[in-house]
Amino acid sequence: MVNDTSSYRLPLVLAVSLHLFVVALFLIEWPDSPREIAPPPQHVTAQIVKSENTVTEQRNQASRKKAEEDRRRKAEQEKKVAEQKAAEQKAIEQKVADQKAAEQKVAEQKAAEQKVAEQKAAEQKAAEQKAAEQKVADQKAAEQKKAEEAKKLADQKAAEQKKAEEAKKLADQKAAEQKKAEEAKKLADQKAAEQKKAEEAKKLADQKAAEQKKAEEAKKAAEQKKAEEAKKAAEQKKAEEAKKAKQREKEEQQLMEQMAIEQAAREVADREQAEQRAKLAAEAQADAISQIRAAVEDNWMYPPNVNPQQRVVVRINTVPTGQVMSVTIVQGSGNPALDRSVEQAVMKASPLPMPDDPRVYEQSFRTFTMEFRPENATW
Amino acid sequence: MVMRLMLSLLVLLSAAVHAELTIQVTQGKQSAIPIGIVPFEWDGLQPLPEDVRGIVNDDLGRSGYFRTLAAENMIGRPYAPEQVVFGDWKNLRQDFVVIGKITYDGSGYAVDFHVMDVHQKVELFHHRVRGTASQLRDMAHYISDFVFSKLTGIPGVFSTKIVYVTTNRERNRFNLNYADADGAREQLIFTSTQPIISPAWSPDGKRIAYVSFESGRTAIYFQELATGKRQMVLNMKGSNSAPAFSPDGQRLAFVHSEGGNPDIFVLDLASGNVSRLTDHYAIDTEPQWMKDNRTIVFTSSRAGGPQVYSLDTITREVKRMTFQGNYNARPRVTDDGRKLIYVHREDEGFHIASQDLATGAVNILTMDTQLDESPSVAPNGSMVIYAATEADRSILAAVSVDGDVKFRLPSKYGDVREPAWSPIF
Repeated sequence: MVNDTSSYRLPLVLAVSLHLFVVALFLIEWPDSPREIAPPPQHVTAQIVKSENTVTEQRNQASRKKAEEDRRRKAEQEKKVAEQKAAEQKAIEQKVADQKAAEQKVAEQKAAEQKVAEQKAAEQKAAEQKAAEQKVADQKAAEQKKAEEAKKLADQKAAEQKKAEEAKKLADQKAAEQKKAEEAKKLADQKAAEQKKAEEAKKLADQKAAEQKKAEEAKKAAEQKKAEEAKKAAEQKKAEEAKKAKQREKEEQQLMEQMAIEQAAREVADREQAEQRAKLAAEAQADAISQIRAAVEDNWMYPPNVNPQQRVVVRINTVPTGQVMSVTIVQGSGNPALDRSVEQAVMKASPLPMPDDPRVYEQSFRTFTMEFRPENATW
Repeated sequence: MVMRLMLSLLVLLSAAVHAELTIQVTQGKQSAIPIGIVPFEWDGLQPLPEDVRGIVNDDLGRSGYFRTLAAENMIGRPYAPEQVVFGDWKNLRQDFVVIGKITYDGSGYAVDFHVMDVHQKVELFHHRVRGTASQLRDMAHYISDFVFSKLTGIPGVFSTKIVYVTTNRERNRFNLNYADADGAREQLIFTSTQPIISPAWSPDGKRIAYVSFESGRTAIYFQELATGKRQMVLNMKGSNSAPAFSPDGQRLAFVHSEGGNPDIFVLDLASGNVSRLTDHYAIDTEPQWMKDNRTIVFTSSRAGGPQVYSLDTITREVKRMTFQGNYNARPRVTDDGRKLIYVHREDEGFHIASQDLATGAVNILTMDTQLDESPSVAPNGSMVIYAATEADRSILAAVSVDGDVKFRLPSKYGDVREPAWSPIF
């Protein structure tokens, strides 16, 4: 029995312990105890390998390099522009010089013409003078001839008188002889004849004196006429010369005026052309500006948390096809995300619309600035 | 002389014309940034316990500020910067690409990742994050936060947490839950047979204040998150509810009602002194501090239906803030002070609305969910989490503050209510 009871002990202990174990299990699992709350997870250890700064630094370096290149290029361009300008100025000066030269030439030509005219005038004058002299000489010669003729006439008259005297002598002789023959009778006749003869001689002398007087008067008239004519010629000449001088002066003045008018017209035309060119260029520029603005705005997606007061200024370098070579932040907003959105907008819009006129492009669009302000920000 | 003068004038003029052109741009777009998150390279034999790339992709895609690219639409899977063909990504209309590689060194995982700028064709950032297997999800959120903050200029909130209350059908089990901001890794931090309401975070993110009925009347409790230690803070006669910490953590605004007339009160946490802020026969409730530590926004029925008011805690001046709709309640203000978020009813149905405090413009964010309630704003102001009713069940949903992106948070248990978004740790 003892053995029997002892033989039950072990199974009993086992059974009891098994029950206890089961109860214990229930005790642990049974209650609807609140679930164990795991503490919030630890924060992650993040190790920064390459911060934005280094990358930014690289980019800055790159942009600095770019900026330097730009500067260099710009300087070169400026130099080129300056050279061009110098060339232009030189050209302008040359033009001015040419114009001056032309003017001088014109003046010279004018002077030459004047000289020629003067010479001609002088020649004409000389010719006129010569002609006048000749005329005078001719007149003189004519007068001399006339005088000579008059003298001849007088001589002839004198000869005729001599002949008449001889004839009278002869008549006297004859009368004496007749007298001798016819003395008494003939005395009366003789006397009458003598008287008649005397009368005739007197008549002849009177005639002669009249002729001489006439010749003298003619001479005097001719001289007077000559003097008058000379005087008249001189006056006419003088008047003509004055008139000519006046005309020359007038012509000169006219020429000057015409030149001035032409110069003014040229200037106006140049100005108009320049204005027209400037107008076209301004239109092309305005066109390109609005197109570029539209293209960039279309691509500008700015980040949240920006406000309309923020401002980003970038400098943009392009090539004539509109390809953007670089975008450099000139003035940042302080919000790198906003700055980046601007850089991206420009790059996304590349190639940008560009003006067709290369001069307009060179003048404004090779390097230009864009200013961004998110005025419609509401995020 | 005149010629020279004119010439110099000409030179001056051309110099003036040569001044650099400036084009003004003032109209951009507010649209999500296209970003491609390439699956991270992992050469281990076993698959990773977490899909790191998938988490990052979801985080950024749900934020409203990014539009992600599906992995199957990608051309190539680069994981090192030199492998990135920018032209391909440009053709895919991406602005940024995130690539990376995960390695395991025996003690933990490391993710090396790079953020590439597609248009400027540069590597913007290179970063490395380490952690254990259980931290892979945290690492993924960390990557999301990093990328988000660098590309948007505002901090990411993917590593933040939410707390919310769940109940069973029978209404005899009330749980206070703690989870990632995306709803993952839910944990129970308190449970009771009596109702739990109005959980609120302290500004340092270390404790939660909430109302519990466990003592038979409504009392306000604080609970330390790290230790689970609970403390009853207010147990005034009547009802005590809707606790809200001031941004400096010094005071707690709450609603106290004795005899059915709730008013706003404030408790000084250092001294334990309670003072009354409003005294009105109408209902004043749901206080929330603004960032200035001085102004409180709250719901009041003083104009008949519930509307949102602001209260200056020093001058006690009260101003009405909402005028649109016949029901506006449960206000929340974004940390930047730009937007007021509240429950709004225009005709029928309760929806979450956002009101621009500068312009007064009201934007209804949710239209596809019904009976929306309890909005809580992410600490960076990018998103709103709220409770909504879907098929007779209350769930958690989130919407980006512009209303463009909406998603539902997973939840496993019963009805989900009163989410509260933590501050950034």
